Amino acid sequence: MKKATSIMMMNTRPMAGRLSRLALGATIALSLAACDTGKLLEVPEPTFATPISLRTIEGLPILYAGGIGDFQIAYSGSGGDAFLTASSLFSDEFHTSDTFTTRQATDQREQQPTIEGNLSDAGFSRLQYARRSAAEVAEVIAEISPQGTADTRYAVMKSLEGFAITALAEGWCGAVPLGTARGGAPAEEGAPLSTQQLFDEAIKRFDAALAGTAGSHLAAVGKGRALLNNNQPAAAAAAVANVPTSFVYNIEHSSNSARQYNPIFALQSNRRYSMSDKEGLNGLPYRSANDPRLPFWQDPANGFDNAVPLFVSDRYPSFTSDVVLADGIEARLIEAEAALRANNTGLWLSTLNELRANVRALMTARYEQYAAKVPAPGTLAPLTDPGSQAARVDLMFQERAFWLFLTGHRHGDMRRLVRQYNRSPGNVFPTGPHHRGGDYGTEVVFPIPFAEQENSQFSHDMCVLTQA
Amino acid sequence: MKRGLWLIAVLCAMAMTAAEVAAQTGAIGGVVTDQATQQPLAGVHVTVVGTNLSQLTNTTGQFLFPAVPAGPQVLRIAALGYTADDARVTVVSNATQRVTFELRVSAIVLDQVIVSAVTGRAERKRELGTNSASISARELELAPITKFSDALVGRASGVQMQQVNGSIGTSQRIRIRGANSISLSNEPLIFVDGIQFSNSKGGFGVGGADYSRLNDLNSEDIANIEILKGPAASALYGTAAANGVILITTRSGQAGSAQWRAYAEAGTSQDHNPWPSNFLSLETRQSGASVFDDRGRLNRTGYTYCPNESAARGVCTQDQLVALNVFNTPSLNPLQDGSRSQFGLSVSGGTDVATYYVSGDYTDEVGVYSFNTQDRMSLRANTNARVRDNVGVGVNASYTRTKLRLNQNDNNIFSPIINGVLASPWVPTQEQRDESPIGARAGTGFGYYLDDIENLTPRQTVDRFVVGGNTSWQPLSFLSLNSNIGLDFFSRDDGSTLQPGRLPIAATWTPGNRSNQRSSSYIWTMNAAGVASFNPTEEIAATTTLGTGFTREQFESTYCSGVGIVEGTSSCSATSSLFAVDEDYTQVRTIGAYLQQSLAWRDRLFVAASVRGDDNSAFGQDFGFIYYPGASLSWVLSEEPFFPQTDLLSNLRLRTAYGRSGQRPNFRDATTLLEPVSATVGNNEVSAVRLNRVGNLDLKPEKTSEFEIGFDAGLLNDRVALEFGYFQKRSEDALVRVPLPPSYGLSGDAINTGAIWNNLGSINNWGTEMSLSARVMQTQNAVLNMRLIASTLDNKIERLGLDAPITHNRGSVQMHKEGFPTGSFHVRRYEIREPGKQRLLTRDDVILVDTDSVTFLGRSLPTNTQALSGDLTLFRNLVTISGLFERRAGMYLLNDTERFRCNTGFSRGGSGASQGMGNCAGVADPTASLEDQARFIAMRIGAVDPTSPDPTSPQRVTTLAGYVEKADFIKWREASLTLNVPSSLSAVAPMLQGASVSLSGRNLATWTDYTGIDPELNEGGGSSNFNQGEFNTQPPLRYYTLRFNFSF
Repeated sequence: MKKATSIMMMNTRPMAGRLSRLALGATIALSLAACDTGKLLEVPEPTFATPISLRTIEGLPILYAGGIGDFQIAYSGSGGDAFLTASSLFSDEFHTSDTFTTRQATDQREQQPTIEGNLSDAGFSRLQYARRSAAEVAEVIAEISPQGTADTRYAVMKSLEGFAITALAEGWCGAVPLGTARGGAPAEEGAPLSTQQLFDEAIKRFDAALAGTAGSHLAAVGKGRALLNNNQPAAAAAAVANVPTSFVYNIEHSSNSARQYNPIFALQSNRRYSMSDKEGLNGLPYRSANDPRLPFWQDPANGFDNAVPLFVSDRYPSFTSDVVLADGIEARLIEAEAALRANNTGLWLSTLNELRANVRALMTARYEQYAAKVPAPGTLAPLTDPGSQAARVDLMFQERAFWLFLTGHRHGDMRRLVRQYNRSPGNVFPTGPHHRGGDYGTEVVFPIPFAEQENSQFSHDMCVLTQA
Repeated sequence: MKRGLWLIAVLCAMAMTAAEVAAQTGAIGGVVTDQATQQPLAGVHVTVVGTNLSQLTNTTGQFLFPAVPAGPQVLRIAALGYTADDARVTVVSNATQRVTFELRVSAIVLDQVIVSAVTGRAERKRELGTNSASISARELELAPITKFSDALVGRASGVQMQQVNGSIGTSQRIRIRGANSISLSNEPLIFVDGIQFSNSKGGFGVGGADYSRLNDLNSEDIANIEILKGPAASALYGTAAANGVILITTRSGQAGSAQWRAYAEAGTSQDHNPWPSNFLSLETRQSGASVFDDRGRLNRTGYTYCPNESAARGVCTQDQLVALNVFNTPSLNPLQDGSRSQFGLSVSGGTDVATYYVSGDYTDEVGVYSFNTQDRMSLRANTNARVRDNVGVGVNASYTRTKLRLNQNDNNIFSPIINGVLASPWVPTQEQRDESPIGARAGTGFGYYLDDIENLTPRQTVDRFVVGGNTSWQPLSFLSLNSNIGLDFFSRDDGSTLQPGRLPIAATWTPGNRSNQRSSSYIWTMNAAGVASFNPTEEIAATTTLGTGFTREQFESTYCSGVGIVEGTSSCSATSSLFAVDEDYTQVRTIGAYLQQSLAWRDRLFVAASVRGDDNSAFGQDFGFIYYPGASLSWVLSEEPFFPQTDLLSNLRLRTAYGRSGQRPNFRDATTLLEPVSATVGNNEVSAVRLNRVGNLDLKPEKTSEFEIGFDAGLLNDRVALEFGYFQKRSEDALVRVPLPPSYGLSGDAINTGAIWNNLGSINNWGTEMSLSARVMQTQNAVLNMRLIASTLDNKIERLGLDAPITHNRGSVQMHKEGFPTGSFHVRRYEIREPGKQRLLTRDDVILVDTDSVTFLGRSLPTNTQALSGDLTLFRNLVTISGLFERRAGMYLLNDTERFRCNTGFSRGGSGASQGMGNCAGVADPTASLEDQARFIAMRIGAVDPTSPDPTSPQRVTTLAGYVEKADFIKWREASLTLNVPSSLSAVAPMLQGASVSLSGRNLATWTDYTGIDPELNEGGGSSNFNQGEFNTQPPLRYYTLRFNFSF
């Protein structure tokens, strides 16, 4: 074995005399250095558009459709949970038939700590998103459309902005901030607004819509809804006075893409929710009333959890079933309630009975496959005066609940019963033993999502979940 | 912008000028043998010091350098497991000098050679200030490797390969020296023969587990795995290397006659895990009544459901307990014994001019579900050629075709596990099984038998080509120009077909459906470097490396789905409604340039410094180049004249290094984008857009800096090798996905909305690593080698940049919180009133401890790990026995399987459920421990808040604290017994050079206090960044394998 004792100097030859090669090398070096190497990092973007690229007259229909779609996702849902299902579950319309803790907590009115997330969080975020989207599109329409704010699309966008704020006010506690964004980037934080302030904000949007298109029935019903929520029934009735009963504005659903699916059908098909009946003692008899406005059927299989009996509402029998956002029925119900508040019992009853007399036609005009699902004649007997004001109020709200079933109104109405009619939450919301064990809680509103705490003007302490 | 290509230009210039320089040369040849056995040693690295001339010995131990500059030279030998050696040779022009080396066995590996995937430069371990880990082919040959990722289990300190799922074809989770990034991946970068290799985990979701591309590698082809554990070692790898780099080298041929190698193995896989029993506790109303009806529904006339807590409060009296373990009941057990077979053949050889290695392998495996199957075919051809005396080229090419069927599992009602652990404690007859409807199958947790579930099995077919070429041109003896270029491409076909009527449970299921995704992934790698070596003085050797690199990562996919499929077909075109299509495209490019200067003094003191600059297409447009510096110091102290020469401390090296690497943002994270969607307006489907993501134009990469220091020692005349090191790694500008307040209106349904990426955080990882290798015994008939590796790890978020922690896992059980370890567990603790007395607990017996807020409970990553392995060779290599044990400790895991079992089982009992009333012990077994009972009460009913204003009606707080468990374990990972056919038998079969038969086992035993199924599981699969929770996850399987090896 040989062992080296020292490192030897390498015998390298000098590089003199190679000037020509050096010159050529230098030339190549300079040539390459002259290239714009940044091009090597350019990558194509075939999938997405940028906010600025669509701010044109040609881009306007696409932005407008985006605003429509964003509202559908927020209010109704994209085949999954949004405001509509959260509202239905929290009220007495639906109960959970799956195993998700967030759904159980919402159903039980004992919601999870905000840090753990809640079912209503998606609705809150998407309504805020839809509000921002509609406002931005309305701004572009006003700027680019030759008709400016008189463009009927402007009225639709401002109305949808108003409805989004109305839904936020009906569902969540009285501390909802409305921040702003510009070009897809955060702009200004919003200060938390009380429930009344939110409805006031919504009314401003509806008024802006009406200022552009005075005959916008969509804006009129929205304004009436917000005013009724703000305990101004007479003003609400005035707002909807010109809305014909035949008017319907649908949140349109489609089987074209999964995000357009009707969420109630999709979730009931997946056996997540079961239609309630007298849920939690105070709940309304949605099934046992055998009312033609509330068709349903029982699935022989159980719910998703393989335990809870599954009752499926037939109001939305397919992925393509539209959801009524605002219509003439609601306008008449607003008028009826205003009449009741004005102690005009005769007008109150006649208004309700006029709707009931046309139940089949009205429902057929609104709900897919209704005539096929509900055997004729499917009539409703006229109502009679129950005799006391309290009973009249009960009847009024049951009529609203049955007509407006699964349209995102019931939770707001329950809160109104507490705020405007001095009912105790324990006599309005589901209470007593819950079907999953334990008792119903005492909460009456949704919490603001945990992420809102990044808003320096907001604190979760501001959100009182037991205050209607 | 004019960026780093000037470096390429400089390299070209160097080459042009150097090409004309010639030298008078001679040859050096020789042979390397084992001193003890006198057997030739193949694959030994031979280098002419001070030049870039190096090669491996052939199968007869021979080497030959045909053109070495005339004059005195030093020849250096480095072989894994042997002492290094030098020889001084005087090269005479046009003559050949011959040298013989006889090497002594050594446990210390200072002269092991590591080839950089970026520079192509070969460096000995003694030259590096870092402690990289090596796994050799020999180690793998002894081990029962069922998939490539097994090779990384328990073999390198600081490297944790977490076996998160046991289903065939699923991916595992790799962590090296902790976790650097809160929001980006913490998986290391992988190179195979210098080409960047994708470890993506995509495919159709099955509930939790994801797919493995790492295991596309055929472990039989592996020659060596080198693991650069962090930026101190991987600074030259730039923007992507912050989590460490795994360098995989496949086998190559050696000059000599053709060497054939064949193997065949067959084995079985089994589930030996501790599945829980299902309980139902009852109060009898009608004596003698049957508990269940013929559909498995509880007879509620005869019995009242009476859970423990109700019984404790006197609401009911438990007088009957029904219990059943589905997994121990043959007629119900969904698990079968799996099978595995593998066959392979390779040939290698060549001449001094060209070598080759060609292999083929076929593996077929069936898991513990009959519909979890995988077959894989691998082909490889590696060639190397010396096309001129000073030009070497190599081409490595491989093709793998993998076909996988993966079962539904984890968070999924079609999981066989969830249908078992929540099943009624009742055994239906075959008739009862047949009569119960799908979706409400008798006795199951969620209403599905295995036959139903089999209808919904995603299939994945992957065709993968990895092709790379490398060149090494030595225009001058002191200058080497290295380059490599390659492509890792795979085409992935994911499909799922549900035939009509098989699962009539929902609108999209009853008529059948089909989904399909075709994806293509491309990673191009290009590197070029010039390495110049020169000796400024007699005692100093200097090496300058200048290079550039470019990578392009591109992924494309198209997707279709539809409902209502024609029976027997499996194509989107065969569906009739609810069509959906999608197309995806991502591309990221990186360009970098670097300079490294190394100095060696007397071949025992090594200093190096480097800097790399990168730009990347995913950086924000307002951000430019980023620089990654590195420095290294290594001192082989024991070779200093003043160092006492003793057998006790026969070798000592001190080392330290510093380096920085980065991690880029994801594609599109820097840009605000609108996503085209469709909307219905006036009954028309029209084009629309929605905000897809909120961009940040200032986005830049995370920077992770690492410092490490340590020593390598040879003890007892190098029979024992000890390596010890300490590292500290700090990430700055950590990319955090900052939640936006939803009130901005930027938080929609698109997954990327609601947050903005920002460079905010700072994370610290630090720890120690130790490796102890020893030849414990060496006699004529017995050789025993033992190896112990150990590491410690701590981790802390120094700065999060947010007011509130980022929470995850069941809402908020884990969180990233400033001042605490990443992804650590924080819970509200409780205690048991009057513990120690076995009884049934009421809801008032569980008292909240943390009345104000959550308390830190523990970490998600192990804080200390040890692995002990050994091999005993008996009777002159006739028999070899080997084994591997691994311990991990200090981490916690959410036992979500049990939480869900208790919660759902309880709900079903309370709701009068007719099906799936199996329950956990804490709810329904009166003999359950107090801890079991208390954690259920705390989770479901709530612990009593002692600060409640009204003690008679106390407030209750629910907490998952009881289900977050310590997950320490010791596992017996591997054992094998190999019988080598005596060489005397070669007389019988002259062509046979060697043969052996091995019997081996994998995942043989687990020792743990964790009460769930397995403490290594993870519901999120290999891509789970921090979530630590098992949720009806398939645990690792036990394998027994019989294998035959032949060489001829």
